[in-house]
Amino acid sequence: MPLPRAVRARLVWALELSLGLELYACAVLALHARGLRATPLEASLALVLPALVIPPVFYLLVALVSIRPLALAPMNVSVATMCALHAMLVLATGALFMITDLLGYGGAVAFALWGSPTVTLLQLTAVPLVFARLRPLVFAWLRPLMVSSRAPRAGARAVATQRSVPETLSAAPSPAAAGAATLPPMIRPLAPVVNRTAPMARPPVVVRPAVKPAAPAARPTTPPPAPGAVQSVAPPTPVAGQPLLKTWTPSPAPPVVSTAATPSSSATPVEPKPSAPSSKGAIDWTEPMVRVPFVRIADQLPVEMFARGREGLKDTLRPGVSLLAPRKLLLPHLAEGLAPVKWDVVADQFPLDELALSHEEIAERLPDGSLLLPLDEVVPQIPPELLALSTPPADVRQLEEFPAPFQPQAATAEPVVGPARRDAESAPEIGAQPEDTVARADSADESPESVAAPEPEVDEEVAPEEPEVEETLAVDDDADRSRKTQPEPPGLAATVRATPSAASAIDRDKREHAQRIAALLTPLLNGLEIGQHDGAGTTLVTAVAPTLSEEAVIQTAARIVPFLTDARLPEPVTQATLTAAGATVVLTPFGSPSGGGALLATAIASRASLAWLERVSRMAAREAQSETGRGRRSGPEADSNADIELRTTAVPTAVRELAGALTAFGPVAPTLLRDRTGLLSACLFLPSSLDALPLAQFARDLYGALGGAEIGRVASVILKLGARRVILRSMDGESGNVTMLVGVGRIDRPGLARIELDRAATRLAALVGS
Amino acid sequence: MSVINYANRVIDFKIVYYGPGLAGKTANLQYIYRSLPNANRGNMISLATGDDRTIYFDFLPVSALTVRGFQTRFQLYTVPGQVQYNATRRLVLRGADGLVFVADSQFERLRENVESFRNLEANLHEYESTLDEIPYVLQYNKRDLPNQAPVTYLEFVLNRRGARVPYFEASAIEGKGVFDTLNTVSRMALASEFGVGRERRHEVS
Repeated sequence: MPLPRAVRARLVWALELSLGLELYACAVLALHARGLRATPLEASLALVLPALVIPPVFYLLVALVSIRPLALAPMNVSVATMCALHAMLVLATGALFMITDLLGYGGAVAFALWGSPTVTLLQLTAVPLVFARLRPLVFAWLRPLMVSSRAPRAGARAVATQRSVPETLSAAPSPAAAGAATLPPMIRPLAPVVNRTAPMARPPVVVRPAVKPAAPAARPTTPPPAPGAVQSVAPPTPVAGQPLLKTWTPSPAPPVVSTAATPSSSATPVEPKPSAPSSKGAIDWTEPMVRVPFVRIADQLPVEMFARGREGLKDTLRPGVSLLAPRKLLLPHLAEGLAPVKWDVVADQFPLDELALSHEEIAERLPDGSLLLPLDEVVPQIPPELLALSTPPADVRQLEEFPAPFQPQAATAEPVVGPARRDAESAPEIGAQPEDTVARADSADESPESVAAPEPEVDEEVAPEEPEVEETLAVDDDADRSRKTQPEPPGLAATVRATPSAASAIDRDKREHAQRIAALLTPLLNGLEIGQHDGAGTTLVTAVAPTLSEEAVIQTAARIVPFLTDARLPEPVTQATLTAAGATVVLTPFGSPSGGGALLATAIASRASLAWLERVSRMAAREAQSETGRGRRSGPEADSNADIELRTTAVPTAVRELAGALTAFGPVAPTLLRDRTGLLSACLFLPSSLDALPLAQFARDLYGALGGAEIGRVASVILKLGARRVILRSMDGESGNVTMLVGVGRIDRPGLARIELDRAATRLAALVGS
Repeated sequence: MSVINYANRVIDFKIVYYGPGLAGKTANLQYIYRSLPNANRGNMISLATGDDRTIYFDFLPVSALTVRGFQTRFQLYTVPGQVQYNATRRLVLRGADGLVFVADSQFERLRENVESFRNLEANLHEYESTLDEIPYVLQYNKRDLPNQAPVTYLEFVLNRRGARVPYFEASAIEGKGVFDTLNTVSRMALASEFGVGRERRHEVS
């Protein structure tokens, strides 16, 4: 059965003390064996005086060099104690000589005192070593006496400084290193009695009655614990109902040890600070405690507070030595993310004889007089019910009506992105990506101008982003194969459907393209139904708003498909936007020409975010679009409306003035063409490099093809031809005649261009009417 | 305040990621930036020091769903967490429609969390606003680190206002909890804009 730690410590201490005395006895006997014999001596002054004077002087020197801080009281106690020990050794040595040399005890004692310098030297060596072991015990015995003797004075001065107590009692000669290394730990080994969550049981120690406080503010002192022996717990002056740490405020500075401060060597009692310690020592050992290993807070303590330095202190620490703090004092501060405890609360757990400073001085050196206990030690010891909040949770039921706005790409398109791609996606620094680019791209619709022109500058300004998507789409075959092995997202699988009759005709490339685009569009265009159809010589991937007829969109798209590669256009169409009263359809070619090409048709009910829709569609179809651009030009080169011959006519001055107002198109010249009947007119505003007649014929044919479109009357068509845009709109006259407006140019601001063309149409209609 | 473009039926929301330095605000945005499809996000602007400390703010515009005919767009901002950049934090905070308070779950950072949260309240007070008026959520980040405080305690420290707001455990660098946080605060902003009592505003317009 293992002995308790306290008993073991007590045993070791006693053995060490006995060993010291035994060594002294052995040394004396060894001298006796080598011929030293006790003989009767004459008590002459020359012999007696040095024997009586040298030891006290020697012990005074020892105390002078070893007692820190230097103070009279501990010096006196130390010298007196060592002299007493010296006397005891002399008496014991005399008894030894009396037995061995058959001498009278008086003569033997006289010989032990001044008969042999060798014996005297042994005594002078042995006494400090023995005193080093006895010192804690001496202090424990003498402290109450010292305090009680000070009490009246303390009462007169309102409080006695705590420092005077240990200074009076601590008289440690500087022992040999071996002696110091075996000193008992400073912190009482209370850990075994601590229950982490249960109320703290009072340590099984003998509690001495507290020294009667001389004044309310006087610090009650506690005898230092005898090493492993009696522990004196002196409850400090209780302050009922007052939180001990009430005045604590967080300090931004970390609780570091102050190295600038030096310990005061003055033994003069200090007047207590008025603010000091209303909270002193309200520890109730029956309340729940929080235990913190001392090593976790040792670094916060000022190094000068220890008589032997912090390192010397740590050397004496044994595993499990802990500091105890009342849980109720910590709880109010845990909400601030801290666990401070006033020094006064824990000061009693430090033996005074190991402290070189008074408690007040130590508290002054700590940030706000507190130690910060590590939260990772404190919080696990707090019962969860004490941390549970009673406040009700916020009402979030209203959120259920909104779907999650964002879906990470990982489930669908993430496999497309390879590791190199990830690197490329790292956020650019501001220097690399001008802020205004993003700001303008993002706030394009916020400007008054863009309010009227929903599809404006975004197109050009987001162009640098598009290659990223191109990379995303440009997956290699391996990536494709890896994608095939992955289960298709349920949501996507539910929305992608194919017409049964044509599904078998869709080749694998088209299907993969369609699925890939659908996967890209799914998180972007919430609410659009994505489908896949085959017909009109192409594969049509549709993303249609639920309020629109998908069939109408498909049929309208089929009308315009032949015009997308019309040879009369200067370049192939990379995107076409049809605007009707109740729908806006964006057609974007994609897919390899060898596969017959494909078309992405996105349709929404309003013009809101049209620029965004166009951008998304182009990005989704980017890969194939470039190939289409290099592909065949298989448009209806034959003039299907040849019977409607257009001829150039003179341009009125008013129309020329209109051309000057079309700033967004760049420099353009007006051209006016009419058919024979005068029912159809085409007013073109073109750069000088373009021939008007093919474009007029194209506009005529396109207008004819879109007549009676399933999505409703098409008010305008915008064709994107690389950097150019062609904007077409028609005006129905009152007499049944139709005028087509065609504007072509390298348009940087398509929204503005459309507005200018609308204005031109209005003025032209007024001119025609007049 | 959200910016509404009635002509184009677009609403812009401003979501601000707030929190102490090195809590993981920028990591949140970086993960969002990496995870969203390119077409759904703009460029992320980040102005940071050499050791990746944000000194101005991070900005990431993202687009989301259409709600009642309005295209919604979210502008995600972070604030610099370091104490000396309070003026920037206050500037970024202006007009926020939603807040994400990113807290560092490590025990030794709890004090900074509390101070940052108080700083948030103080900066809102400068705009004569309070956290009661702005949707916000808590994100307990760095849950992958060993010295993490239990959620119970983090709630005890940070979620002790009148009503407990939603919180999320996260590891932003791994992406855990990032989108849950973003989606919830976005939905709270949407609910604040389109919820009961707000519908009339849009119907009239």
